[in-house]
Amino acid sequence: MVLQEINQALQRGDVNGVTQGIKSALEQGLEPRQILNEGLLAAMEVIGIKFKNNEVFVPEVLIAARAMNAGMEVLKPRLIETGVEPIGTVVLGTVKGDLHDIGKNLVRMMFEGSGLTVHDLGVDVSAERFVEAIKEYKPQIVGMSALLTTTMGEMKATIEAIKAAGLRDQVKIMVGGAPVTAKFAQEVGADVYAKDAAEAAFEAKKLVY
Amino acid sequence: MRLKVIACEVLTREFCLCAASSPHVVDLEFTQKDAHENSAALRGLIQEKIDGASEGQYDAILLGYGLCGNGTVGLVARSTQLVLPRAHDCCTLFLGSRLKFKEHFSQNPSQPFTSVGYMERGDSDVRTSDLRETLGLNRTFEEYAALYGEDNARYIMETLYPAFTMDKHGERVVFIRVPETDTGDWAARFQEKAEREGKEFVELEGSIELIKRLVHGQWGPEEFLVVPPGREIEGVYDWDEICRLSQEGE
Repeated sequence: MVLQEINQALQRGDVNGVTQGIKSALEQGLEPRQILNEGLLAAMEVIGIKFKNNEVFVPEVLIAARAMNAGMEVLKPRLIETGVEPIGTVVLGTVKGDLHDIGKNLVRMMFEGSGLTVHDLGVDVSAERFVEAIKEYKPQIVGMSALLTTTMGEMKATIEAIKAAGLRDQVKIMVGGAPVTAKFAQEVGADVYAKDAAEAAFEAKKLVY
Repeated sequence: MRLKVIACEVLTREFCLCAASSPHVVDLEFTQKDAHENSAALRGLIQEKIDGASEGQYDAILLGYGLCGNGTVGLVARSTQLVLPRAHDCCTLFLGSRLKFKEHFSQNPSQPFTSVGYMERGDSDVRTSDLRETLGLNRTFEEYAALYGEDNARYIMETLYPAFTMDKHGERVVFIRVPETDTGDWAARFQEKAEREGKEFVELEGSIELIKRLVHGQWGPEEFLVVPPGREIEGVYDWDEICRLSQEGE
């Protein structure tokens, strides 16, 4: 019952509802992992599906992700105590020369909402910076975004730089952005193409589980 | 030759001028500026117009676009060949050459640009966007507050809106002045607005020559992709080739 309440509160972006719900669930002796899976992640998954189906839009995703993060603040210490590890780490950025961040920010929100730890490098991110971040954060996934046909080539350059640094086998590379296609993703040697933020989160979860 | 032009309306002045001096018979049709907001819709719209030409009606259909966010990628020539400039977007068409585009924009591809045609068609100077509406971001603080509560409304405004504004202080904005179609006080108005917003105004001299060669039937392979009947346009996403024919059977 309380899990259902947490789930519903998260979907409507009710920060207090989520944090209070988690506190009562813990007091009732529910397992932190169960609260995470059935209360928080299940709700974000619903939001993801609704977003994909145009039933909810960016503001709803944003406030749901915010409630998710607030819930995680409460739950995280208990998850660590019980030995639950974060499900995965992602390094994310918009490629060099490209200053667009709407899509990339949405992907970040959806990733965080899926329980992934995200290191967002921002916009205009050089190939070298991606390489450094892989060394620093040791992510399972690298996500790249481009909104311009002029900057899509940077995705290829970045993948080449990751290869040259000997890091290609350590990461799965995901690409997206309005002009990016599955065919292009394949041509430049990415592992996964995602056509929107919800699909990115869905594919990312497949990669880390 | 009898030629059909399908072009974005921001290039209306340039195409009309070139059609007037063309040795060929040229029919002109324009699509609305805001059609480029959705590349799939733009592609559908152009393909529909291509398909509307009956067999033998034209010697070629000329496309007054660039890749335009992939809006022209995937277009198929039916019974009539298509000709597309090797360009990422209309910036190259205003500048008159992809080399000039590369020279000015390769170090900063996100730099906003405009022109007389861009400014006079539509209500925004640099680009119009219904993206906010598509993403559900066209509401006021009060409307968000009514929907999600004040705290969440504040969060939405603070988190998303800085990222959604094109008004970045100190940014360079470019006005491309094509001498033959330079009319009105658009450049001055744009400069004044840029300076008021603390942006660096840059004026570049454009050229009508690329559009002229397209409409006059001078389709050198360096500058244009000629798409024979049955073939499809594919994107290359570099600074030189930009577009090519897709492999047959794809």
